[in-house]
Amino acid sequence: MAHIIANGVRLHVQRMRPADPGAPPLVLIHGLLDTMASYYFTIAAAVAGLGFDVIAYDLRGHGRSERPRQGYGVDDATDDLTGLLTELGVAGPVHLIGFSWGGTVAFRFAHRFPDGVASLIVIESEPPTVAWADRAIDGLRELSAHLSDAEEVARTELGALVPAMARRLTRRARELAVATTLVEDITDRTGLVDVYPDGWLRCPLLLIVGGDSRLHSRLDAIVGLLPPCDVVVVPGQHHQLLAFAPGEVAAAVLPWLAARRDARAGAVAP
Amino acid sequence: MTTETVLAEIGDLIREVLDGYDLGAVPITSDTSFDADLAFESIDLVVLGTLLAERYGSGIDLAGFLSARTLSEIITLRVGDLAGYVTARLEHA
Repeated sequence: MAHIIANGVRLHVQRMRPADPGAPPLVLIHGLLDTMASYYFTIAAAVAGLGFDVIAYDLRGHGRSERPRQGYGVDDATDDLTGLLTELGVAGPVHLIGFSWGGTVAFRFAHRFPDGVASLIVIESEPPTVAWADRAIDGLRELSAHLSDAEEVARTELGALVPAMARRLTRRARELAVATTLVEDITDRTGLVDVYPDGWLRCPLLLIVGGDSRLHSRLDAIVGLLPPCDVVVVPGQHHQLLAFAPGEVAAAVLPWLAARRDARAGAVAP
Repeated sequence: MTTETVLAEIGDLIREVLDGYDLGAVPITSDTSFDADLAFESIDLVVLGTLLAERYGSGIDLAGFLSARTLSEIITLRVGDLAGYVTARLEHA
């Protein structure tokens, strides 16, 4: 198992590296209470198959990475990613894929380091704003409220579909809430932006949204924060697109990424 | 390499992934469920995938193997399913 100290924290990293030493680097960023497994079981191998140097890692406090008590704000997460890329010796712009909170981290990374990102794919994510942070915390509180009641967990969207997964998510929420300052850190105003200026995002962007998700109901407002971008709506799906619609996510992601790869190589995209 | 040999080796790798977690009297057989019997987290499967590739070579692609399965199939995965996959890949290597 590969661990790397990045930004002072021991992070669990897995790399799927093709033989081509010039393969463009691509980082997968998972969501809150999740791990890199959400990609490993779904699109990671296919993305590596396109010829990308795929880097997956567990965020601090998650999976097999270290769980320090503090440092769970969006800028801590982007500092961790910067440290990780430095330690791995990855120079030049990276392609980023983020799910949920991971997408929010990717947006912030692209905002802070506009020359550091070649392209951005976000799944069920929005840029970090004060309103976003308030909603994220409401979601965590909602999950926490259900923690002690198995029947309540079973009634949640996820619990009805995959009880084992819902039980684990609630347990992880409890562990993180007790052992870390995650809830306080996420609502910390550092890294949250209320009004994004024109041109704040310079890389190509693909936004993937579940047709029945809460985020979809605010899609116009979110797109309003962004430069012109590609949007794919997966009908009939809620928030957990990687878990429940991996085929649809792959169908959106793979051709889009292949075109970005070919553009970089100077070839004409089909 | 027989499925029995692979099964025994995978059992050792599983114990390595769980690293000191006391499995007690739980025997690891082809019928052992990663979720129900071993309380494997999804990230534990990722780590097991790394160990499998180290042991048997990069032809053992657990990410690819799991990508072809639904979430429910991954949750109900049994050790025998994995041993069967590894044995088949080794035979075709």
